[in-house]
Amino acid sequence: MVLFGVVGPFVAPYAPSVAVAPGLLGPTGQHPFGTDELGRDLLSRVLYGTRISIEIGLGTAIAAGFVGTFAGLYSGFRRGWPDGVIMRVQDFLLGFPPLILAMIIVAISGASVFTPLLAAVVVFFPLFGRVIRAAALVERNKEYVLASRALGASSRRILLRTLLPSVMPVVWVQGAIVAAVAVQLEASLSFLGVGVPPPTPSLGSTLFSAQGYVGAAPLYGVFPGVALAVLIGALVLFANALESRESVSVTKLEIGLSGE
Amino acid sequence: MIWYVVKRVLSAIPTLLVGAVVSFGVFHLLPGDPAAVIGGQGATPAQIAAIRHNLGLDQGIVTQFVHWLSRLAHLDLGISYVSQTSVTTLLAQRLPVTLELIGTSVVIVLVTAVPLSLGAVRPGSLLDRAAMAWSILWLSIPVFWLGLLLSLFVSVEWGLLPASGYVSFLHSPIQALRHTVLPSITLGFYLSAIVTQYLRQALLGIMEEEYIRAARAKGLSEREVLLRHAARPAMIPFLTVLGILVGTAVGGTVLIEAVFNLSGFGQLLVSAVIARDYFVVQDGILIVVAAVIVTNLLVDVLYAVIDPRIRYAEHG
Repeated sequence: MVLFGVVGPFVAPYAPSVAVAPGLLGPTGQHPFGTDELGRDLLSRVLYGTRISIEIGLGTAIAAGFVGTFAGLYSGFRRGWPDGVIMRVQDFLLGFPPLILAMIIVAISGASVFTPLLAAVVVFFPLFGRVIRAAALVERNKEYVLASRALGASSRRILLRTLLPSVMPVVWVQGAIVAAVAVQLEASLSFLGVGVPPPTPSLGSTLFSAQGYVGAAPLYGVFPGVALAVLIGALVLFANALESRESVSVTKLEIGLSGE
Repeated sequence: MIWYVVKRVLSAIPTLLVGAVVSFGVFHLLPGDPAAVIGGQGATPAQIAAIRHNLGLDQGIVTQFVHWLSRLAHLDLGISYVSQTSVTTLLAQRLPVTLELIGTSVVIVLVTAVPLSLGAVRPGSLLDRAAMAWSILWLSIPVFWLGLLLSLFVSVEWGLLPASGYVSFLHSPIQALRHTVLPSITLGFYLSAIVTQYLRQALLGIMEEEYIRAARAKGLSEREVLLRHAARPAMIPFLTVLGILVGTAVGGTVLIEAVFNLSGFGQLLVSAVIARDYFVVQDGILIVVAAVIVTNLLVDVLYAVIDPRIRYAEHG
């Protein structure tokens, strides 16, 4: 599926935002997925949309992972009031329904390709922060960390060179989960009309348009949805596989919190 | 026990205040000038200034906040400029639709997730694997796509059930049921996936506990082990996940209502955000925050009912 998204734009038969045929065609030889209401080739739009989804998923996982990991490491290592403040902020963000929080962020910062990404990062970085903090709390009192401190290592060095590597497995697993839910979040936002602005192809907004034509073009809404479901499913399975391989247990709670 | 409840309720108040500050902040952070939006395109600067004055927007930010809170205390939620009706009336129309949807979905969650997660008693059994497959399937399929497919096949192709609209239970129970089936299934399956995952994980942990092994060693039947020894500790994670569900369900209804064209609270919030209907956004967010806080409060209190250790730990 990732391959699909990466090479998709090169093999896509048509430009995604240009009308090339009559609207709402069913699948034909030239347009295997048919066309949308403006006569744009659906296969091309699905391919490009998948790429956007992957970009958002990866981008969120990386950016939120970066922010959340350091917030978590810092608060778990330092304790005291910075820990309290960081945790409170994260708890508050997690308490909010993610979709509604994201919608508000988009409304405040205006529509562009980057706002769904920004919203996803704000909504999901606490997922890293909390898990990493928990991991850091366990690791900080282990002997190798104490040894490193006894050797005179600075706090920064301990944080980056000693603690960070030990929590990385958790970061990877959490990253895969966050990528899955970020893809879903972007699609949901776009479905509601507040995600990636048109004419950029997004799987969510394509599904929204398809909704208006269930009668006229029944298959319109099927292909983008399959792409979306396969992508999210692949990421969820990937996260599960990583989890059992690295034998870390990131509670399933995090998946629950992150849905719509 | 009473002290525990009082303490919990009191500790929820600051959180609620923070929530109020946030919804108030969103109102002011939203781009654009509410007075200009309400005045419309042809409004003169003088008219806009008059509207500002009427709304109290020309006062200091703290005064505005205090005023808003005092109006809230009188259940005066302001006016939606889009529909020119009071927000209270709007909410009275919209909330029942959403609450009904959440209610029926929770029923679906209970009848699917609870039996499925029991598979965790024997990890790797057929039921357990079915539970895993069930939850991964519904976690992967975006709710709005499932809704789209259901309305495509069940309504448009086979013509079995209506694809959109809302009928009140009080008005016509049978029609109401027919209209609820598809939206509830869509939301219910998604929520069920989350609950199944979570409960399964929790039950796996409980079944490894010493007291379960002791109960088995005593020669109790699996049934008795489950009902007498595992059920009560399992209530705790069950409550936790129900608490989480509220937030998820509110977010989910936003999408479900969009797919099935139900004019509920979620739709109200989305259209208010898009149309910059300032007061509706502000109050809507506050309601969401309050709902989440109250649920957590209830969950906390119920924890203490189930597990005495929790209430003694508080003033131990």
